[in-house]
Amino acid sequence: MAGKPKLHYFNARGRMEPIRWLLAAAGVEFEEQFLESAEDLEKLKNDGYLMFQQVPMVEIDGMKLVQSRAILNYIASKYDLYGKDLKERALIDMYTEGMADLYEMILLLPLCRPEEKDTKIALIQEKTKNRYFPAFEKVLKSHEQDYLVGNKLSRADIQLVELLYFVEELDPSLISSFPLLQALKTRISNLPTLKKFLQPGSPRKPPTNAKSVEEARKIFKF
Amino acid sequence: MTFGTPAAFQAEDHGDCSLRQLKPHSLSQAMAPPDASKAPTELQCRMLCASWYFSCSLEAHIVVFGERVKENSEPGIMAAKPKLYYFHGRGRMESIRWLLAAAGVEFEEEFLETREQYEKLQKDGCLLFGQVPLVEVDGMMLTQTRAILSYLAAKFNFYGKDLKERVRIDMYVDGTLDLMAMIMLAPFQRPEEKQETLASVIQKAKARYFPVFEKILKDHGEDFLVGNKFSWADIQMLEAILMVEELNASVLSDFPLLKAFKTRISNIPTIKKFLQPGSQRKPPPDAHYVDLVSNILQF
Repeated sequence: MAGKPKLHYFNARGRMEPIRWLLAAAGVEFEEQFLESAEDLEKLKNDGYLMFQQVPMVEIDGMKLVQSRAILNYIASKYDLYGKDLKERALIDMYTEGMADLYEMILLLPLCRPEEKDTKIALIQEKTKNRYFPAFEKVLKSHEQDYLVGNKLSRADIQLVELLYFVEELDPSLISSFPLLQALKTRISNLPTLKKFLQPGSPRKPPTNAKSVEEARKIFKF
Repeated sequence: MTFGTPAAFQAEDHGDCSLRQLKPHSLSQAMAPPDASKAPTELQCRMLCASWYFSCSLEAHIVVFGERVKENSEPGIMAAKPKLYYFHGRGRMESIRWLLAAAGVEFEEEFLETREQYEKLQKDGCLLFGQVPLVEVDGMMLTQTRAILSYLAAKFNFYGKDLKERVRIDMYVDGTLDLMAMIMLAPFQRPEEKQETLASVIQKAKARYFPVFEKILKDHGEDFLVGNKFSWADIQMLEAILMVEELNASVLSDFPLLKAFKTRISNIPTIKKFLQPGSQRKPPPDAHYVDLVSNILQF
């Protein structure tokens, strides 16, 4: 009964996008069921499909997985994108947790009050330039290999490249003093599975706009 | 596993943090013959570090960012106690203390008391993203709470027997950590926000989180949350229950199985010991702690 994984979310990036990237990079086809109304979400809750009443939820291997980290960990392990041993996994986790912190700041930007927006953008730019990008550039420089960990493609590379695109949409100049990050972005983007995902018509979702935010407010009632 | 060369770090770093941070006696464990009768002085340690650092021999410490591995190491030499770098309080380090304690693993702690100490850790290149918690364990300088917790959970066999058990543990832990994150945030908020947050914690505990775990225990009727075996999920759950009870003592009144679970897990010998006075468990945050952290992290 090994059907395709099925993703439950609304039709936007949000917290589901990293999961889409990872599945795509692994060459795994998946289906999506989009929440379009508050009632759709209520139905999922009432059917007992959402452990903590929240999405993302991914149906995979007979399970209904929730919590984006748990889902990403599972997919990474299943498709051998999580390093070869415990120590590599610890490094991958350390890197991806840092990425998640920066990602979260950008993710929540459309939801902040207009008067706060400029301050938040400045903070993101500062942290990107002084904290996050230097850390990953340093890792790549330290071993001069093509991938962040263990000289092999892992979720760390995929998640970093997603983040690089995300940051680029906000401010394309931020990556300019990080040559190794630029090279990684090009290299990973050229992997056949990701190249396909980066083309129009793939499950990749467009940047969040005001309409998406309104839809989210309606469905999730905030 | 491939390693970077020390040269890559010499140009950028002002010395290898992991070596410099070692106290003389632990450095002598790592490098000197086991029967060294006197601990080397700090200067001798630094000179040893420098000579190790520049050495090309196979015995040289080879450094990859965040990781120090000694080739041809003798068994037992790498098994120094884990060392925790954080403030003297719960914060994001407490769950890590719980996990180590549950595993019966002794650990050392270095407490950050000044901005200078914190900046030194940053300058020494120990903090990948300039942040604590930092745990020095098995030759690695690990940061990011979840990375540390996952590593320790796997190392101590608290992470289930296969991928399916592991994903269940991850789901339960992530839900629990979401609840605990709210509690952790509260002391740093303004009074009105703080009241709102704490009320929300109790409401979510009773309506969203505790019912889930009560049902899990009811459905399988076993002593532990996952796989009929003590795991990280149980440790995290107990920590969360106790933290919520500190806010509202009767919060478990509608959850008899969680009550029994709380008693049962609290009586596991390593946990029991950790729950007693004199252990490394930290007290709830007070005004002094909030001031200290605000000053050191400058917010």
